[in-house]
Amino acid sequence: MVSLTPLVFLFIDENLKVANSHIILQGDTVNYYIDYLSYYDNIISTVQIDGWAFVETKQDNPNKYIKLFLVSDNVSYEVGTTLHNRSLQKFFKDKDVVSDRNGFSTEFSPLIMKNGDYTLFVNVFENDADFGFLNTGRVFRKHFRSFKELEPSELVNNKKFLNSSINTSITSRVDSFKIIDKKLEIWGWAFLENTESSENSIYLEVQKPDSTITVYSTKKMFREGVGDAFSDDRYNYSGFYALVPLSALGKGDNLITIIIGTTNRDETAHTFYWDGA
Amino acid sequence: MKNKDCIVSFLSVLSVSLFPILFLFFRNIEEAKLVDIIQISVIFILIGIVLFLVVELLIKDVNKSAIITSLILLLMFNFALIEKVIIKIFPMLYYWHVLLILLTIIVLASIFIKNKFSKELAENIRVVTLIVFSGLILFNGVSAIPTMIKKNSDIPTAIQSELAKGTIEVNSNVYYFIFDEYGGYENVLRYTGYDNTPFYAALEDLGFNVSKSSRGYTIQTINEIPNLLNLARINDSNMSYDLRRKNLENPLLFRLFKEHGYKLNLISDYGTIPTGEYVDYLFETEMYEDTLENFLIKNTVYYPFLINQYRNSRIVEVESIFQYMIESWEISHDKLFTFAYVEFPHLPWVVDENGNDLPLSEKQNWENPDTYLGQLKFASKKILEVVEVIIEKDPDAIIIIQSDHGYRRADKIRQDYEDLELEREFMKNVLNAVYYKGENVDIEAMSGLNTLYVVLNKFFGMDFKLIE
Repeated sequence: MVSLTPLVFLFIDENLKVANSHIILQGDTVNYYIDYLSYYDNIISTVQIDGWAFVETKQDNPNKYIKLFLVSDNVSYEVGTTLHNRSLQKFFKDKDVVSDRNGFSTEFSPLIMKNGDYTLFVNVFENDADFGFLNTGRVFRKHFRSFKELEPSELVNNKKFLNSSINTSITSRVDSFKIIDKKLEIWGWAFLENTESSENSIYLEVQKPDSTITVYSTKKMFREGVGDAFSDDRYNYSGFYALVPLSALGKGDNLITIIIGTTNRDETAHTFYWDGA
Repeated sequence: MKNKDCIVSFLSVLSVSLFPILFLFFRNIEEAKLVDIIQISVIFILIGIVLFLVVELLIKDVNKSAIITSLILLLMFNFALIEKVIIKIFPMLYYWHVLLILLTIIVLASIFIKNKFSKELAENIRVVTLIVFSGLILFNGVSAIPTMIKKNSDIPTAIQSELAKGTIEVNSNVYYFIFDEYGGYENVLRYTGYDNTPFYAALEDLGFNVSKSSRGYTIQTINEIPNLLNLARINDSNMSYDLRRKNLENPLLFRLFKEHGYKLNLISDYGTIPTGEYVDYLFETEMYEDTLENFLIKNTVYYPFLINQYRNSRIVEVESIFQYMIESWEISHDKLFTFAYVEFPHLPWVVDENGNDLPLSEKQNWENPDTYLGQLKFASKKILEVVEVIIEKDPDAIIIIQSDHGYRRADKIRQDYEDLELEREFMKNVLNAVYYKGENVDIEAMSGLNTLYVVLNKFFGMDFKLIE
């Protein structure tokens, strides 16, 4: 029974395989977008992803490939894609983007994967000179037949941040707080100086007026403006977005502290006053 | 004796093969037709016969073969249900694990039956199987007789409401869109907790008059749509389905516009609104999955392959409907009446608010109101896209947006609600908005029907009296 699934997958042309090499974020900035991500309740619970990705290049790229990596604490999977023509030049007039083969499509079955939370990385190879690896910040939970993207704000176990301490090299800003659909919507950006922003997840520690603390994950957002403002492309993925349930807030001043990774706490907390309505 | 054994065994297998089909057929006798089940019946019978012959070749005992075949058929035809139960207990198991478990059960049961069942016991079980399944078929058939008689005794003649012509000559294009199950403001708030004000505000910004408290008269599409299209309450729940449906043919509203020299542009989702020579332009989608055949197959061992066939198709259809609606203004700059019936955000719930696919397991999920809410929000976006374009390109137009009833969660999950009469009032709360060339029209708290009267009285100079 245990080996039945691998046996079945011997007969299925699978795009997914265990990644043996270590994920190293290196190379140039990867520009990407996922247009379409679907899960199907068919016999192998197919996941379909369509999108585009490129790294700026001025050279030919006959051997271009785009790979997706699903990375968890214990295991990583590599997902092959097929490329197709997708003209992006009119949208990126200021970038060196090749005229074709920027689009990608892939289908895979998550059934063979181990249960766990997986972060999606995109690897683009244009040529030997231009290639890149990117942490999209998008996290997926595989649990038996289910494979779903985690919401921008999943409750995270506080214990994960026990070793966190104030890091003065965090630069951050909260752009807006807004209550929508019984949730507190938070937009902002944060990065660690001289660190690739796509490498680390951003969490929000919410402290109620009664001192109860909860921590929520955030969704990573592309903020090219931040990179421009600090003249450093490494901060392009410093944006974050969160939807914190109102149950995490108390009437009065709530303190929201940004945590980068699991160890770096912002030295100042942002205050959000909630009137309880 | 041998012949008798063969006949009883064959009939026993036949009754097991046909039971799921006939059960479903009789349960849906009001809407189902015999022709709907012929093909699937032949397939199920053939499967039964082939299995019976194969098992007989292996077992070489006609009585025991009939029992084993019946067991296999029951497991095959109810595979999805069995799988659901097994997965609930052992979530780590996949389709092939369950298949292997059931195959093992079949093999072990077959060995047991072959070796341990006496001839007499096998004969008795086979007869009991025949009696039970034939009895169940008969019972369901007899239960369906009153409905069948009612169905056939109704003379399906459409009620031709009297047609009067208005006093004003007009040219403006008129767009009338009905979105099935789009809950009114109070309905959505009650069942999903969502305040749909942004949608209403966006409509008002475009120049729409909106009513958040409008109510229909029932929560049945087959009553409400014909009543709206015939400008009278001609259908009620005591009438047969066929007769109520008959009242959708060339209804009064279509004839009224034709009488005033308008061309009819009909958008009929799932082919719900019948077409005829009176239709000048037509966009139609077909029911793609909710047939008796698919209801049956989705419970069988074949279900994963069936689901794979129609993935995505519904939302592709819906997108195409909205696209056609957006482009309708291009058909003619005047004297065009566009009527759309769109079975959306009605189930199947296939998308979230951003138009991303939902797992197919969500498509009939009445338990979780967020499933419906996502599709409703997506519908709101698409509706706004349509009306924004029409108003921009055809500002002299009249646009009426309505629904037939709200989200009917309380009707589907009755145990969650104490006062169903009260809930019914909330479920009757409908979408109701009118764009009248940017002018103010008072439709507050009016039913869909009264709203039509107000618009037609103003537009054609008619004299419809408001009803209770």
